[in-house]
Amino acid sequence: MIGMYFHHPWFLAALPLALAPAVFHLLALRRSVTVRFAWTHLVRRALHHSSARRKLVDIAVLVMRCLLIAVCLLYFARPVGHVDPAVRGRVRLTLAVDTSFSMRRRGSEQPVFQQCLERADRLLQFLEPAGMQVDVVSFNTSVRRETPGPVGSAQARAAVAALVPGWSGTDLGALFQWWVGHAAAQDRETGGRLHHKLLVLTDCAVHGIRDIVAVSSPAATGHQDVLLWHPAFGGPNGRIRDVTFDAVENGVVSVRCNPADVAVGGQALLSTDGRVVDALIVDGMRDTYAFAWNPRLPRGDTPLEVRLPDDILSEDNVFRCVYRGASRRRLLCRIEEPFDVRGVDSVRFYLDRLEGAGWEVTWAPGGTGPVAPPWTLELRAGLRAMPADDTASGRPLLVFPAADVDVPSYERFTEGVEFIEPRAAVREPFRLVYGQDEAFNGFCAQYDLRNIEVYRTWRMTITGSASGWRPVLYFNDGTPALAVRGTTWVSAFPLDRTSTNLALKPFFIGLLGYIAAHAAPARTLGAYEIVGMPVPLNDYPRIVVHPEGVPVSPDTVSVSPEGVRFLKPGWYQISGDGGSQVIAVNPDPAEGDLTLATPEHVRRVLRAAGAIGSMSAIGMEREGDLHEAVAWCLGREYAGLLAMLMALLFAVETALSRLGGRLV
Amino acid sequence: MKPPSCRDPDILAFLDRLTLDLGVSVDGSLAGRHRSPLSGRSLEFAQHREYVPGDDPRHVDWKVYGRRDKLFVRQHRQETNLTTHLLVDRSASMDFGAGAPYTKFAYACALAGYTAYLLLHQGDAVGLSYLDGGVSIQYPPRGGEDRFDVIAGSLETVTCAGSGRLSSGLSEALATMNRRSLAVLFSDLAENEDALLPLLRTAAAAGIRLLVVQVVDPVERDLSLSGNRVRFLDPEEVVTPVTTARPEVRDAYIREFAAMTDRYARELMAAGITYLLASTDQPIPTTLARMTGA
Repeated sequence: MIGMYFHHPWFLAALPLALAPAVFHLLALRRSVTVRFAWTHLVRRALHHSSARRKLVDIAVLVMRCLLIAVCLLYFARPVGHVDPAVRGRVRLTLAVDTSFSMRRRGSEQPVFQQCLERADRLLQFLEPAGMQVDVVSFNTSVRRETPGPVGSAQARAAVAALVPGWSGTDLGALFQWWVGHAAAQDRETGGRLHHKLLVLTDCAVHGIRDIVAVSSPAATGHQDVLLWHPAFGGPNGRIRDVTFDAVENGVVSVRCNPADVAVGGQALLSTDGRVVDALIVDGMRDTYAFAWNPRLPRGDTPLEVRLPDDILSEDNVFRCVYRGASRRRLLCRIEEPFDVRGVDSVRFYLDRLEGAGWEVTWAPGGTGPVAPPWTLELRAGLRAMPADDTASGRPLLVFPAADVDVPSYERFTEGVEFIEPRAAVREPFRLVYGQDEAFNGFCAQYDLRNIEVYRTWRMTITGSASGWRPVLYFNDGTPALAVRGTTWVSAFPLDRTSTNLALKPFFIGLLGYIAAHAAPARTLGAYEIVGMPVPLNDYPRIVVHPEGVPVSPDTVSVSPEGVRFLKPGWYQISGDGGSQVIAVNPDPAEGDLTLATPEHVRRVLRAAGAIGSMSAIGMEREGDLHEAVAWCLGREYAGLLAMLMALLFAVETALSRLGGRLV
Repeated sequence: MKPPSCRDPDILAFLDRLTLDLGVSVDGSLAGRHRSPLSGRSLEFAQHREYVPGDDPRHVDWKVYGRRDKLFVRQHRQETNLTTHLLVDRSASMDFGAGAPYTKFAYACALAGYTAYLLLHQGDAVGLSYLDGGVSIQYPPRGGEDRFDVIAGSLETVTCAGSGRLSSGLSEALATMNRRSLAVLFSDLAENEDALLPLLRTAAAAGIRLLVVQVVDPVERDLSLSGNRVRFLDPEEVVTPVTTARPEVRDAYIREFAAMTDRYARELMAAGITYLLASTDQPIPTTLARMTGA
């Protein structure tokens, strides 16, 4: 049995208007013009010829016009035929709302998520008179039930209104799997064949569809229909990825990034404190692009933003990070040169150049005595003896022993490494060979080490693998040349200009920068954390929003034994006894991949999930889309049928009018 | 609406070049332009007749006697003046003017006035009668220079306030006319043809020369009334049929109207009556020219 439901029932109140042609006809009779006419008998005679046929046509035209208006009003009332309550009880409607990050993006008038919520609310309003029960779920990478089960429209609307967009990715495949399992469970409970309908409000981003490999849930027995209701889809969303910092000469900082998803011609901006300091145009010729920025006064933490001005997503087009200036680049130098050499032949001269590269160099007075921290790296070059009070400081340390080093003075912190003076000095310089540290090798790859002359004065031997020393450079005879353990770096060659020309090469300054970056206790510059991924707290119990210093609210972070999860993008600073680190939190880069999924793709995943039945997709922009969705939920819509009927009536009326029916 | 004047100088000058000649002899008491069936002293030769005693010897044609040795007398056609009765229909149906600047009655009065001028200019005697239920105002036929002013003055001031049938007034007017006189009827003939036609045929048979000018409005000809719904009110019988101006009704009406005018033309011509259909949207000189055959 078919019932009738109207989207706009107030149009039915205007149905008496359908009698308007008849009323106009009667009024026109009263408003006729009276003419005194001599030939009335001729008129009467003329009328006599065609009166019978004329009356029939008149009545037919009148009826056509009344019907035309009635059908037109019915069309605007948007009737939907739906099954009666007995049959409707077998329909299980599930409304799934995508709460992934990509739903936060800007729409034409309002954020996409808000648009979806508004549409869902209107849909539920339409379903209310029909008494349809709805199951509301939200989903991103997992599915969450928002209602305990099928509920009425009012309760469903409240559940939908409480939804907020999240920061994680989406997985339609997971939703389909859950829904199929849920449908199967419902079929088992009722013992009969149900009609399951899943209405998904999603942006259909391709990233949200994961191919399903195996289905573990039992298949449902009832019929299953899926309707994807998606907002208007924009173009590909650009993302800046893999931002790294490099300090280069003359104080210029190079910010390297990979704008892989940015369209050719797109512009990316590097800004600090809201001020654009550099811009680049993506030409599509490279993978990596670099901004150049001169910090000038590198003091404290400098927030940096890499921004795509015309990005679709409102909040993921900014890559936020912190550039740490002076605190990361302080170098304490203790150098004892064998000769008091000054000028271009001096190591001191080249270390002085570090200041031009943004380093703050502190010279230890007289080569002895404590120097107040902080500094990033302590360089000890050519020191014949290590003061006892400095050996256990735990600060980053880079040691280039002197040719006649007092080896025992180093043994206190070089445990596990032996320095043996060769019996016969090798007068030929050694070549340097890379070790197994890929990061270090990658750094060295940009320099040519073949021109470095290194004379070995000691043979460095790592006595045990458990000692933690890790060689990063070897001499070409296989003995270690540079080894690292934690924040301490030691070399087997001195920094004496008579033994090596390393200090005279540009490589040396870069090497110091690399060592400083890796030896520092703080995180690497350009830290990039993903929302939802746990960050180990360790001994950083204090979490504040950076740079305001405001303690975070519970909805911003989630603290667990695994660590802290940041739930919103932004800057965070975690601090404790071990120091502090600033974390830039951005959403899942995969969420920037907003390529629209093809229906075939979704259908394939749906089939893989074990669903049987139909799948269709409609837009969300037009008012008619809403009615289509309502009709899909309730049953059949008669708008098309009424439109055809209107056209037919109009054609008949026109034909009859031409035949002679001119009533009004 | 101001009725058309019958003293328009341009039209009067135009009429000076026209002659209303019916082509048949008429009786008359005054010498005029029209031939008389009686022999007379005019210059126009009629026939020879054998002399009988008593004939005026001055009429003997001696040239014929010389050729045929018999006496014949010359007979000349006598030219007489024309006694014309202008009959103007004043019934209510004439007060209609939807498709032209003038009502049918105003148009008919103008035609009658100019016809009077034309006839008086020819030396004929002209009378004027208004027909409605009877003969309401009657000016006996007379000639003379001042006669036109009398008739024109009457035509310019008369109103169409009559009622009743045209046939009764026409019958009364025709009964008073002498044979061989001319009657010019200006009317819409909006009455049953079966009532009017016998009357006109009888008058023609009695020797009254008739010129019937049927005056119609353009709307009456094609029923081109504005508005979709029109109630037609018969001005004389006062019946109120209601109808609509549909194309098919209009077409049927046009056919009926044409049949009516065709019947008038056909049967009046057969009876020797001159018939002219005049539409009020035609210029008056054009209609006058058609009347005189110019």
